[in-house]
Amino acid sequence: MKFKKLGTTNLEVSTICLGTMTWGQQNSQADGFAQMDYALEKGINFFDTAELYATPPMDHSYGKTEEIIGNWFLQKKNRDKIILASKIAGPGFKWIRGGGNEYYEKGIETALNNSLKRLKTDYIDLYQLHWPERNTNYFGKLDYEHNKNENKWHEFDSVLKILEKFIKQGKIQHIGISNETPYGFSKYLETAKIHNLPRIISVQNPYNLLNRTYEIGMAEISIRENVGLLAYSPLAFGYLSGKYRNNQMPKNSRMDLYADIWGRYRKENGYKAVDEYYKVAVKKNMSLAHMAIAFVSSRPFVVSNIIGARTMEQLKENIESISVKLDDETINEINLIHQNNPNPAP
Amino acid sequence: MKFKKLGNTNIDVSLICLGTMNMGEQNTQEQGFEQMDYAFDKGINFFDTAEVYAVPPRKETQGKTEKIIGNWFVKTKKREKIILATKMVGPGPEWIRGGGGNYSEKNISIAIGGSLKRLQTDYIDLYQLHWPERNTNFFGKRDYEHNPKEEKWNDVESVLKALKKFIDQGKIRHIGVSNETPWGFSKFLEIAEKLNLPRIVSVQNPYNLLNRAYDNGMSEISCRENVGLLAYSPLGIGYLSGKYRNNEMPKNSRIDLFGNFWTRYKEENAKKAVDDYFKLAKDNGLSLTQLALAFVNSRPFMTSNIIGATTMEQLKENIGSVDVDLSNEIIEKINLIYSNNPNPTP
Repeated sequence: MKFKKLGTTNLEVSTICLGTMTWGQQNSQADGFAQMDYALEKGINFFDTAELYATPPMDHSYGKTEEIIGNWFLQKKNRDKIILASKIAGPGFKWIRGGGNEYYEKGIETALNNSLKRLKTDYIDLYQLHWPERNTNYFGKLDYEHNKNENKWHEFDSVLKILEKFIKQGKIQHIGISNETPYGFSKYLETAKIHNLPRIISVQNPYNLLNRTYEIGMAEISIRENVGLLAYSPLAFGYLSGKYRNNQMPKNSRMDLYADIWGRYRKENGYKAVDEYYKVAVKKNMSLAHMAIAFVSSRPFVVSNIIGARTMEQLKENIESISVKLDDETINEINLIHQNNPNPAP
Repeated sequence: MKFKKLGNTNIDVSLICLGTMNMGEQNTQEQGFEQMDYAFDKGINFFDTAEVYAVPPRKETQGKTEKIIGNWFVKTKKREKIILATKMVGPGPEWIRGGGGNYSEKNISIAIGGSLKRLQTDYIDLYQLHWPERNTNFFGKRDYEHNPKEEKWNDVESVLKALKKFIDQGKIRHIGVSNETPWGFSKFLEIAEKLNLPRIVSVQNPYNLLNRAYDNGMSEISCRENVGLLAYSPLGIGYLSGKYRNNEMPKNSRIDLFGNFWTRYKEENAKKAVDDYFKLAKDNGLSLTQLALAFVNSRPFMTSNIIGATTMEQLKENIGSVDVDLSNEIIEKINLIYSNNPNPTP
């Protein structure tokens, strides 16, 4: 395994982070335990979860993933071996505290205490705001569309002040954001600096060969401010494994089960790009999954690459990608495909 | 003509801004005068130029555009009727102050002195930094690529402090940035706020149907911080007039004369997009030029749309776009073409 510093902290996190969102729906607790055991054995010390999980988000599976992780900590006594990241949900799901804005004191307190309880721990290493309260471009939206009548949302300084309280209480060690845009990213940094409030140490946004929008305006901020990316969906919900090529729909795959929810990657140009990246991988004698994951891990602004798996074979392949090195020629070919078909699945 | 406030100033600038970079190369002084006269008659009160113009940039024509504008001011006595924007070059052109072109106080002083003299005025309404000193993604680069060995550059604080001196002296009224990225945009705002230094009032970046990269990360900052876009290249260097369709190369057109300099719009996908937008315009009884310019005019983050022309016919059509309103249905169709072929020419 390889390791990188998490933002400005002294924490060394593994370049591969174990994603967990399938546990509690596509995966059982026993599957989750097997995945965590294996990942730990392979040197992974970084797990990412969320109160919202398992996915797709449903009221009956809300909190289940955290419970599974908590049970594993209890049974294996491994809490201190893991840098644990979780997230508080943003607005939108009525079974989560009514579905309105979430980033107020009572909302954060409730979410945090419940996460701690499910995770059977008294601290979270990295507590992330899952998505912005304000109207902006995330979850498949390439562009910002201004809405003059947008709902009120909690100001950056008020959110940071609340989070500071829980940092002081020791319940959270560090904070991060997710599904953010350059405006939000910059504002969190600026507000922390001007008001001497906690500084975010990470951004968790999607990043993969079909969606490199992070490079337009976020990557420069990540590098110049030393707040790296935790890349989610490095395989674009499995599309970059190649398993959906040629109109295939493997039984029990995520698209077979939940295609209605995940439309983000089902676009004509997306299919075309997958085929082209597949050809490069074949030529270079590697699997498309290896090439796709290794590309993400190798970007200078990426701190950790959040992989997720349903089967142990997938998990092994994903983690193995850490020893795949892409030569300059491969990177150039990837960039050429990107240039001709940029970000088909933002 | 329609007008908008320039950032948080009380200045009303026309929604169409007269671009001037042809004057002194493709256009003579006489033609420049005719364009300025006509634009003024049509209600345009906003002219944009740069010390580096005419274009393409070369030693022999450097400063010529500003001289033509200065001569027009003397002849027509209209200086105070025009909101005048110019720009100081970034690093590159070696015939300007040795090519170091950095934003040091000394360089800014020399540049402002030269521009005022050529423009035959004692103040500039909007003084812009033409492009960043630092390594980042502008001039056709879609993505930020980090260079760990980038050269030193003047930090934002020192640049703002230097510019403040010239504001205090009355030589410049307001400042703006150009060819910027979200990191630079946010930094200029943050440092101004934190240290009570002058706040930028505009961003001059490319924006057109072939390049809507501004929508991804910049437009949210523009809307929320009230620092609007001065859109340059609204016709994609002429490609969105349709005149280069079907591999045509009109005699004396910019690409005929200087095709090796302007390569940004030559991509295969751009041709396809131009054809798609052309068809959409035709189906709706519009010229492609009208469709392209009216789209830019209509964006909520837009302060002014910088058009340029080499003939009076072009100028008339470009200015006429201010009266073209696009229906929601046309905007939706534009967005559909765009989502299938996003930003072919960043």
